[in-house]
Amino acid sequence: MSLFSLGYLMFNGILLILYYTVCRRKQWILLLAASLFYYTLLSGQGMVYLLLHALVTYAGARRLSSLEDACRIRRKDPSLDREGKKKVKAAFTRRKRVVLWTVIILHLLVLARLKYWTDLFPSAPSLLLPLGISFYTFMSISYLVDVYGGKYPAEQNFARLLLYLSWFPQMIQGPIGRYPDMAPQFQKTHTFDSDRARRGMLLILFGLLKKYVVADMLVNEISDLFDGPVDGLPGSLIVFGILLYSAQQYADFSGGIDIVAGFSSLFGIELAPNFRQPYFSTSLGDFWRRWHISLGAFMRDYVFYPFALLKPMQKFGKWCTKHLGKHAGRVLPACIANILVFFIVGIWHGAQLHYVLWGLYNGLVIALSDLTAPFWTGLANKLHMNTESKGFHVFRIIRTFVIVNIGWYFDRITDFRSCMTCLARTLTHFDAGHFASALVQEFCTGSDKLTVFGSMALALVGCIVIFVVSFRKETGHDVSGELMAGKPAVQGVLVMLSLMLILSSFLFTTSAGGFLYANF
Amino acid sequence: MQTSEHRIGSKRIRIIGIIALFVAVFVLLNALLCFLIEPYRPSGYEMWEGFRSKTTLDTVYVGTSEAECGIDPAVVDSATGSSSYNMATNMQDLYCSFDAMRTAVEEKGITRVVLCLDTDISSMERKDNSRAEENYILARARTESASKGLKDRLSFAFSPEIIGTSASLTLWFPWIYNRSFDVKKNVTEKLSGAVSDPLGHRDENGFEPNDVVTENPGFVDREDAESFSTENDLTKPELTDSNRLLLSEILMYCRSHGVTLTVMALPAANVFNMYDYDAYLAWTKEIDDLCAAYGTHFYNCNLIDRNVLFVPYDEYKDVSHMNTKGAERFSAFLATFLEADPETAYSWFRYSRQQSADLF
Repeated sequence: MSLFSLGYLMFNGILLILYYTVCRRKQWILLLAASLFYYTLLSGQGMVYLLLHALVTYAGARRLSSLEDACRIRRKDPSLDREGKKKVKAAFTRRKRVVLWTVIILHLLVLARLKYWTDLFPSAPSLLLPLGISFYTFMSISYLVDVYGGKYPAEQNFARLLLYLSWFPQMIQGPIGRYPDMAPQFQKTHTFDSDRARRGMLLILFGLLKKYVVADMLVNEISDLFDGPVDGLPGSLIVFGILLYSAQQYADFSGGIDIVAGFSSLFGIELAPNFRQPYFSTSLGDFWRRWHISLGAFMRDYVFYPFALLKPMQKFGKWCTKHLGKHAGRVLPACIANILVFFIVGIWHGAQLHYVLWGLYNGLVIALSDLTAPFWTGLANKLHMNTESKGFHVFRIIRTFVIVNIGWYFDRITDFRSCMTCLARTLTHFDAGHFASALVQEFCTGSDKLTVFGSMALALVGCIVIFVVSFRKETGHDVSGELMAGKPAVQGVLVMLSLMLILSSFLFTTSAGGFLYANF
Repeated sequence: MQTSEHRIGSKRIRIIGIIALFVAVFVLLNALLCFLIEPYRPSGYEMWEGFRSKTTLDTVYVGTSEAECGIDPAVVDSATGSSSYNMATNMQDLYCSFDAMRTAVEEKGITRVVLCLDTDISSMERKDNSRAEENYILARARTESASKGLKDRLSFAFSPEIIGTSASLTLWFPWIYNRSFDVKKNVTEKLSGAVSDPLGHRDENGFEPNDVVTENPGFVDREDAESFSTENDLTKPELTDSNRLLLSEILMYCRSHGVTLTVMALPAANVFNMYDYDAYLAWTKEIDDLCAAYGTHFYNCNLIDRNVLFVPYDEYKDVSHMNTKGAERFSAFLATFLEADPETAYSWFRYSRQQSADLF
C-alpha cells in the first residue's frame, strides 16, 4: 500500500478517531489489531512467519528471565560460599547462552533461507519474503540480548511484545526500534496533542516531498544510466549519475522514514530518529552515526562491542600494543570489528556481490582512517592547519561526501564489471566536454525532453528545499517549531507549495514506484 | 470565565476560517491548473461525447489506441450496413473495455462487440495502468450528471486494486495525468470553443484519422520472426491472472446477454521485433483456448494468412498504430471478417509453427 494513497490515509484516519475516542482505555490493543490487520493486508501469508517469530522470541525471553530468577534464588542459598556462588552463576550463564543462541540462530536461519537462499542457489525453490523480516529479526535480537544481559525483565504479555515487533508504521523500512524505548510508549494512555499532531503532519509532508519530488523524479534516469551498457559513458556523466543516486537514495529512504515517523507520532508513539543530515558528516564514521542510525546503533551494540570485547580480540589487542605500539593496540581490534560490522551491513542489504563490496569498502575506509589518524593529525600540525576552522570543517564535509559517493558506485551499479568500468572511466575518461551531449543521448532516448528535464528540474527544487531544511537543522534550529510559530499566511503558503510540488511530481512519473528499502 | 470561553471560541473560528481559506485557495489553484494544462476536448472525452450523441448503435469496438486509430466505423458500416462506434481509448485496459461494452449494452442495446486485445495491456496489472484508467473515468464523468460522475470517481478510488495506490488521490487532480504542455493552445482553444488543429481528434464515429507515414527501421516479417527471436532477447508476452479472469468475465457476460463478442489482436508493424516468437504463439494459443471454452475464437491478425490481410508498413503512422490508409484497409477486411462464417474466418489464421511454415 502506497503511503500516499486514499487507503493509507483512511486507515490512519479511522484508527486515530478510534484511538482518541472509543478505544481510549485500551489504545495498545487497538494498535495491535490495526498492525496485524495492516500486516495481513500487505504480506498475507507472511503473518504466519511474524506470529511464529514473535512466539519464539517471547518464549526464549521468558526462559531467559526464568533462568535469571532461578539463578538469583540459588545464589541466595546460605550454604554456598563465594566459589559456589560463582559456579552457580557460570552454570546458569551457560544455560542462558544456549537459549539465547538457539533462538538467535533460529531467527537468522529463517531470515537467511527466505532472503538469501535463492541468491546463493538460484535453482532452489523461492519462498515469499515476508514484509519487514529483516527489521523485526533485528528488533528481536536486540530484545533477547538485552533480556539476557539483565537490562530489563522479559515481557510477560505476548500481545505487548507482538505489538513492539509488528507496529505498522515501522514495518516497511524501519527504524529498528528498541524495546525499552517503544514499550513504555505503547503502555501509556495518549491524549490528542494539537502541537504534536501539527509536527507529525509537517514531517509527513516533508517526507512526501522527499519521496515524490526528489526520489521518484530521478529513479528512471539513474536506471537508464547504470542498468544498461556503460562502456561508452563519459566519466563526467557517471559522476553525475552517482550524484543523482546520492540524492535519490537519501530522499527515498529518509523520506519514507519521515512519513512513517510522522504517522506514528500522531498516535503519540515516537520512533527512533534514523537520519541526521548525513551529508553534513565530517568523516565516514560520522556518516554512519547519521545514516540509518538505528542500524548503526544495532551493529555497534550487538556486533561491534561484543566482538571487540571477546577474549581473543582483547588478547590480540595486547599483542598489538606489545609489538606495534599503543595506537595499533587500541585501534586494530576496532578496525577488524568495523570490517566485520560493515560486512554484515552489506550482507543485510542483499547477498549480491555489489552489496558485500559496498559494505567492505565502508569498513575498510573507516578502519584505514582510524589507523592513519595520527599521521593526518601530525601532518595538519606540521602544516599549521587550523582543524577547528569553518573552512576545514567544510573541507571535511566535502571530503566525506566524495568518499560516500565512491561507495555508492558499489551500491548502485549491480553488475561488478560495469561497476569497475564506471570507476575506471571516472578517472581515465572524465570527458567533461561531452557531458551535455551524452546526457541528452542517455536520458532522452525513448523519452521526451520535457519529461526528463522537467522531472530533473523538479528534483532540483526539491533538493534545494531539503538542503535549506537540513542546513537549518544542522545549525541547531527547530525547523518545525519555527514554522509552527510563524505567521499562518506563511505556513499556508509553504504547505500549499509543498502539496503542489508533490502533486506536480506525478506529471513526470512513469512508473508505480515503491520504496528502495521496502523489501527489507 | 466568559472571556476565556470567548477567546477559545474566537480562536476556533479563526482556525476554521484559516482552514477554509486554505482549502478555497487550493481548489482555485487546481482549477487554474486544469484550465491551463488540461487539453481542450481530450480524446477520451471526445469518445464519450460522441458515444452519448449516438441514437442507434449495434456494434462497438473497444481496446487501446491501436483500435482507436485502426478501425474506421464508417468503412465497416458502409460495407455491412451496421451502425458502429469506436470506443477505444489510449491504454484502455480490460477493466475499462468491459465497462465500455457494458455501458454500450445497457444504454444503446448493442448486439456486437469487437474487443481488440493489446499484448502489452494483457501483461499489465490494473494498478500499473492507473493513469489511463483515471483519464477514462474522468472523461466519462464529464459526460454524466455530477452525482453519477462522483459515483464513478469514488468507485474507482475505492476499488481494491486502486485504493492503496497514489492514483486514488491523484484522480481528484485531473491536470496531473490529462495534460498537454502546449498551454497557449489549451487556453486559446478553450476561450474560442473550437479545435485549432484536427490532428489527434476523433470524427463523429470515434475514429482518429492520421496521415503520418512511419519510417521502416527494419520491421521483422513473420518468416524471419523465429530466427530473429533466437538472435535477440525479446519480451515474452503473458496474460496475467487478473486479465485472464477479466477476459473470462467478459466472455461470460457477452454470452449471457446475447452479445456477439469478437476477440482479436490488431496488426502491428513491430510485433515480431518486440516479442519472442514462440512466446507470442503460446500467448495466442492461451487466449484462443480461453475463448474456445466460451464458444468463440481469438483472431490474432498478426498471425493471419498474408493473402487474406497484410497491412504494408507505409500504412502505419508509427510502429504499432495504423494510419488512415491502414485503417481503411483493415476496416474493409474487418467488414468482410464480421460477415463471414466464424469457422471460415478462423481458418484464415495460422497459430502453430507448422501452419506458419506452411505459409512460407
